[in-house]
Amino acid sequence: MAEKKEYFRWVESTYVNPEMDWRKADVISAGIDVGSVSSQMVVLCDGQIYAYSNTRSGSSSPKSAKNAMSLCLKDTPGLTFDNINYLIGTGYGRVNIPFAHKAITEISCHALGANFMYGPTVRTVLDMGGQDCKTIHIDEKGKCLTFLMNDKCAAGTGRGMEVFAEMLKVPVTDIGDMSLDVAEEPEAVSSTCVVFAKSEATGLLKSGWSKNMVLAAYCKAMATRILELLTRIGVEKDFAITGGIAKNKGIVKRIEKLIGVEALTPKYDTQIAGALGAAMFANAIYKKQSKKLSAA
Amino acid sequence: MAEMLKTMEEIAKVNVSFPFTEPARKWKEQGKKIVGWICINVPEEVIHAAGMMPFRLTGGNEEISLDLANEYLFGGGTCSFSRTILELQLRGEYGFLDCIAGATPCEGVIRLAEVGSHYHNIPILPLLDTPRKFNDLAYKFYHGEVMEFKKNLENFFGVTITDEAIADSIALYNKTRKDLKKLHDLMKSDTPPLTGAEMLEVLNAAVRMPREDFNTLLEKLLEEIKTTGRTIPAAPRIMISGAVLNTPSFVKSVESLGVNVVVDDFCNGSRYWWEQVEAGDDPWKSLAKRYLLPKCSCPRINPPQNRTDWISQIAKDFRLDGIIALTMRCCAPYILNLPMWKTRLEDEGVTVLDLDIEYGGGFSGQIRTRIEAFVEMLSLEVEI
Repeated sequence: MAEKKEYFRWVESTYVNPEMDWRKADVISAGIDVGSVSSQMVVLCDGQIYAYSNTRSGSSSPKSAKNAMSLCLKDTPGLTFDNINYLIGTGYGRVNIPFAHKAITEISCHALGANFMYGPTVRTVLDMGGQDCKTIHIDEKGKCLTFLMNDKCAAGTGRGMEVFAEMLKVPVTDIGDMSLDVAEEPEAVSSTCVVFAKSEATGLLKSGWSKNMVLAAYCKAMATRILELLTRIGVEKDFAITGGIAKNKGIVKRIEKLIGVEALTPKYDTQIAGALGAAMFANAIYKKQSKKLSAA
Repeated sequence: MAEMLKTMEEIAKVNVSFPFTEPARKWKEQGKKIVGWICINVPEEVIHAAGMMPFRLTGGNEEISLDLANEYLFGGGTCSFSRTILELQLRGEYGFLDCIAGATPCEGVIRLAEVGSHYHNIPILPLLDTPRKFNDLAYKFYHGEVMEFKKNLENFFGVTITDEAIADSIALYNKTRKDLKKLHDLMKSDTPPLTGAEMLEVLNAAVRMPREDFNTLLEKLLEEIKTTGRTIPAAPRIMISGAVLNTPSFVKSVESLGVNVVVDDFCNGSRYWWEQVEAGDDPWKSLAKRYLLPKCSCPRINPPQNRTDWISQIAKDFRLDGIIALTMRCCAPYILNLPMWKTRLEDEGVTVLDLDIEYGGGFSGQIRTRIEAFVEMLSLEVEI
């Protein structure tokens, strides 16, 4: 029997900086972001990215955190959890990460992570995750000034994209390009609910629409929905996008067109922003604590 | 954790069996009447002067499921506060009320009380029609409404309310306001004497028991705070703002994240005790003037500037770091009012969290995340 193809699968990744030696670092800090769809771990050596992993979330938050960790420490010669000075959990499952020293919300962490990933000029961050979307205003240090979050709902998020990939039997990573490859931009699907949008899309396919056209209509609906969050908070330049959906060109291009502002080009895997921010907080908090200890 | 105050235990006990509280039960056992009231534009003193116990209609200490109310309304466009009152009425839990008195805050609350009464035969007295602005004409008009309310109560229960009785009741209720203000003045300290959750227990008890007894409890509480010197450790100072909140558990959950809730602007909180009835030649005129709440009006009243100024004043007096602004779905007045004061307070350096939430709160995943992120904005100070 042929193996069932899983169209929702996206590329899981790991990274280790070959030029760094963790043994030379004064402070090794880490962040783990357990989201509803994906989990990441980032390890920093003295505040610089040494290693990270990005994997699918499992059935429980502790398990997802462990997965992310074993993947992240797979190719780091000799580095184990015991060498990590401070670890912070974030994301939907942040309070259920057994080996975390502290939990910080994904809102504060994405703000700080985006500041590292895109630089101090970023003022507006849009995080498009597996289960929700948020817009965050940040200052030049990556501190969250205000934020908005959508209702818990799959529409306009990574999970919704995965559902569509399965339904249309299109690899989720191809959706963005395919949705842009249309002769004419269609009207957005009218429903913002994934369940209803699915049945609407089935109807469109039956009436002769191509998969590309249906995807374009769905991406447009997602972009329009996210636009509400962006206009309400007000887009100040520079504008950056984090989270899994930042990899979907079909959504990103449409959002850019709607707000008339281009998003900064990512230099890192956009999914690690939360874990990266958490690791940066871990680094700062550990240093603050040791300073206190040595002063005492 | 600060030591538990003995008087707080007594006060919390009042709220336990809500809605038919122990003091209400004892009152009824003496053959006396209870008048349920909705909306703080209803002058409680008139009910008290008639010899009845005023009892405020709200939801209970915890969020409840709204099965009967939703069934009745097909999930229609009403707020969860009014649906909670309807639910309690449909369950028959407000059956101990002899009648209901209401003003005209918003349609949902008052119409749903009528529906509840329809099913449970609790009579509703003619509503006090509350003007939406402050001027001499409005005061004159509301004076007429208060006088009619007096007559309606007298006719309904076959009693007479004398000028002496109303003057005494005003003095009694003013004493409550004075002491609640005293208690709140203590909250201005860096290390306040009560948690916000405890304060809400106090405010809840105030409208669920005979006033004389509540005043005694309140005096005892102030005395106990003085003698024990009880304090809550310093933390970022916040206000929870919104229409109405009766669930101490929600406030407790917020405070467990590392903040002190030192004040509120709820109609069962600050707006309930803020303004005294001023002495005058005619107690009825003084009542009418006070119960239009010119200083701390609710957002149904025009102009909105009064409310903005008031919230800004609270923020200064209580040295607030942040405000959690609750908005209930379908509560148009508060939803539309929020943007008017939010930016002003932000300009004045106060962090404001806009939190859309159902009456009673809940503390589910995403609500918790938003409140936690707000607390981090106030307290997560690290050098990156």
